[in-house]
Amino acid sequence: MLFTKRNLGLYTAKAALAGVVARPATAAVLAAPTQKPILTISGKINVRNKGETAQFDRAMLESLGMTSFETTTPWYQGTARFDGVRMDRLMETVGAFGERVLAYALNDYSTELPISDFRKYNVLLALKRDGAYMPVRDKGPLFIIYPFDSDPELKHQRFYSRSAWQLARLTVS
Amino acid sequence: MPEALRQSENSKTLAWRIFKPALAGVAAIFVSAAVYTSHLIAERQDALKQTSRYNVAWVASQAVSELLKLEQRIAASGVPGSDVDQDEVQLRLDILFNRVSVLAGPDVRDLALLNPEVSTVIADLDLVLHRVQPMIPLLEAPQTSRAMLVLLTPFEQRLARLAAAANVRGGDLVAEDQRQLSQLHWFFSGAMVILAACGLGLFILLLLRNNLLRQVHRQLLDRSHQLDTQNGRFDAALNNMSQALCMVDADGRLIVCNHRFLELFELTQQIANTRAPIQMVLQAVMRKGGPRAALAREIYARQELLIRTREAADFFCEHSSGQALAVFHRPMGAGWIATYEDITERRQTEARIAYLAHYDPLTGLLNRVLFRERLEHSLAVLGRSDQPLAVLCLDLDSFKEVNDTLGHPAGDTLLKEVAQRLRHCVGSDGEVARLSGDEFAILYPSMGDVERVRILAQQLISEVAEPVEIDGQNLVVGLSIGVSLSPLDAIEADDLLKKADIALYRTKSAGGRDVRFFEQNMQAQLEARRAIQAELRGALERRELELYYQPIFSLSDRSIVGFEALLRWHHPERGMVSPVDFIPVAEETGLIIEIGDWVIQQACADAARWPSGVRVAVNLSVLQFEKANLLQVVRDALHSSGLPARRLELEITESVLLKEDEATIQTLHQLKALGLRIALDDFGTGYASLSYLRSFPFDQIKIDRSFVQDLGVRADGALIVNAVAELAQKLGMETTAEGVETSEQLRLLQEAGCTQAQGFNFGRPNPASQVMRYFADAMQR
Repeated sequence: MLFTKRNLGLYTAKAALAGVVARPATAAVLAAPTQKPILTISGKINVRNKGETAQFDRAMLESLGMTSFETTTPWYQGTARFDGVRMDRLMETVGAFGERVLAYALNDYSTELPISDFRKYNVLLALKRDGAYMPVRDKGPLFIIYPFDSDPELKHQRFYSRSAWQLARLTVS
Repeated sequence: MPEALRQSENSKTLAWRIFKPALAGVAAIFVSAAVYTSHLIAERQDALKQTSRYNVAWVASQAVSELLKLEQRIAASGVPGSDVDQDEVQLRLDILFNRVSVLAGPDVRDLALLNPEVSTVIADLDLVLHRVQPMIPLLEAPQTSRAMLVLLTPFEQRLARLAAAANVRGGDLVAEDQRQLSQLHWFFSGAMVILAACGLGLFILLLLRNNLLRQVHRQLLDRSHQLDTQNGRFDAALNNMSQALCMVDADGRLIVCNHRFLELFELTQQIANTRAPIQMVLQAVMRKGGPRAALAREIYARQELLIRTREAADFFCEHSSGQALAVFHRPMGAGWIATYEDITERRQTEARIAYLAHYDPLTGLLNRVLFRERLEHSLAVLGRSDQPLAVLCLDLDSFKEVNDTLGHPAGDTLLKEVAQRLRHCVGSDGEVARLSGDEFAILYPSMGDVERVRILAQQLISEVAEPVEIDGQNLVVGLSIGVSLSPLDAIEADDLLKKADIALYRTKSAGGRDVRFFEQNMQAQLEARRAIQAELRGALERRELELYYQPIFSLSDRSIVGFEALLRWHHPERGMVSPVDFIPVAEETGLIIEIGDWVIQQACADAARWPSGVRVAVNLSVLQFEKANLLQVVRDALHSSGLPARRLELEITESVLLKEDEATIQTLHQLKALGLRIALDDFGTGYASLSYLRSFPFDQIKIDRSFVQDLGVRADGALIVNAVAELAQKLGMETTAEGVETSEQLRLLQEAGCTQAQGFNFGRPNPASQVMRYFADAMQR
């Protein structure tokens, strides 16, 4: 546990360094989506691929590295396994330098999340539930999920409302 | 423990007994209140988790908004130039599908149970959405979009109603939750009140407990104080014991010892404080060395055995130096206790007592006890071996005078010197003992040779006769010896001693400084004396004594000038006993004082009846002068008889003056001051020192009968009488001649110048009753 935290500490230092020094270099790294983009990030970011935004198709997201966890949720019976990209990894990828993220759903529902949540709670941008891609009809294609079972604090309406389904856009502020 | 204290203890114990369950009860209430509160909170937590159900209204209202968006996209798709494509419509439809699935979820299910129309609406919408789905590819045709809108439009109202119903339901839920919260608040408050009450109860219990603790503490302090006092007393008792004491536990460690113990074995206080093993203590004692260490080793060796066998014993150990310890050892519990007492002094005292029991401390000679033992032992040996032995009893002549005139220290020095000389003479052949005062005894093997014993006796006498120098004065003392022989005289120790003593007595009565061997007649004489002695006692009371009076004539006119009182004893069996026989016995026993006093009184009383001018002469003993009340006796006799003092004449012998005692001379002066006459009796027989005549102004000198009898027989007889008479005349004294028997003697005395005479032929001693006859004769003449 201590070891993990120290690693995370190192990781934070690297991220901060990247944010200050390597901003122009990483700008060129993010390729343009080849398929239909499913996520658009705007606002305080350094890495863009379309105008003022950074757009991602599913393959691009998956290429960021998939992680998973199992947890119970208020929306499904029993435990569900979620696969996706870590939200902090995503923020790092786009060189986010704000403190908050405004998440917009397809139905224009919006909710605000502090960026500090992502590392603190290991927040996941889920693409799959129980091994299958989530369709729009079932809260897909993207679902911000907190690992509710990992911390009793998370089993609270505040975090339930931060967990945006049918996620379409993120604005860093 | 006092009764009151025990009762208070009991009540306290009871209080303690009640206190514990009470405390447990309060604790149990605390725990259950806490558990109950926790349960309530957990229950509420569960309820609060489900607050998402409040969102049902919002979820439902979103359905309305999403339906309207879908309808708007469908309508827009029919308008040329719009950027709405089939994908957009499909997306909106999918979103609505998603909504249906959400509405079919658990949150809305509750609502559906309450309101059957809700489930109908959702089911219907799902059905319609599925009918709309296949129409999307045909959206190009305007009638398709119209048909789709016709299908969808009715749900605007129905979903709005669902939203409204959900809203009402949400309100109900909120109200219900608020009610439950309120209830929870009351339960919680109740629990809090109970907890507060429990807290108060606990506080009171704690106060009570503190009170109890304080009492217990006070009692403990009291007890502690009592124990301190007790300990102090034990300490004082322990440390004031004359015996050394130590207590050792089962592990052989010294747990208690007193100061005397440390002192006796020269140990430090440190060893007493450290619970040292007894072996270590012993080693510490051994390191000191000396007799004490040797004793300690010997004692511990004996104690070790007792410790092993767990036995009790009392014993003592003595070192050759004389140091001795008495030990009292007892097992105690698993250990033992012992006391040690230094009995060195006691042993020395015992030895000293043993010495004193057998030896005379002054001279170092054997004492009577040991002498008798030795004598008995020798006699027993003699009985077997037929070895004759002699017992010598020795007595110093006039030792009493030495003591009286020079004091006891001088007397002691003399005794020591004499003892030394006796021992020297006897040598290793015999045993010398001091029996008492100036009495010594010698046990001497005679070898059957009486001459050998006589030679020794003579040697002793001459040895002791050598002057002894005491305080710068040369003192000469005589030694009298009596000898008895075994087996000749006796074979028993007591008998032998008695017979030697009788022989000694004879030596002494014959003037001393001589030796006599026991003879059988000595015993007979002694026994006769003893008989007289026994019978003389009480002779006064029995009125067996009587005064006879012998007339004294004036030589100038033959008239009676007075009578000499003479003592007679009418013994009921022996008849008349001679004064020669009983006066010495009376003097020996001291009876002479009582008798002498009676003589003075009786003589005065008799003489008072005689014509005036007739004197009475009374003889005084030396012993009467030694008694302080002679003057008073004479004064009383004169007073009670009414006899004028000038008619009383007291006769004393030279022996009264022998000691040249100031007190005697003073008494004589006092007597003379009463007005009576003092005569010197038996002049010329004793020491015949003319100096006596100077020492006191006598009124009369009585010339002893021995000189008178020589008158007319020996030429020098007249010379002496003449000289004495002349001397007396010149000194202003009268002279009385005693024992005048013939007319020739009478004539010669008259010529010599004697003034008075008395004698058998001129007048025998007669009882008082016959004295009056002389006066009648005189008157007739």
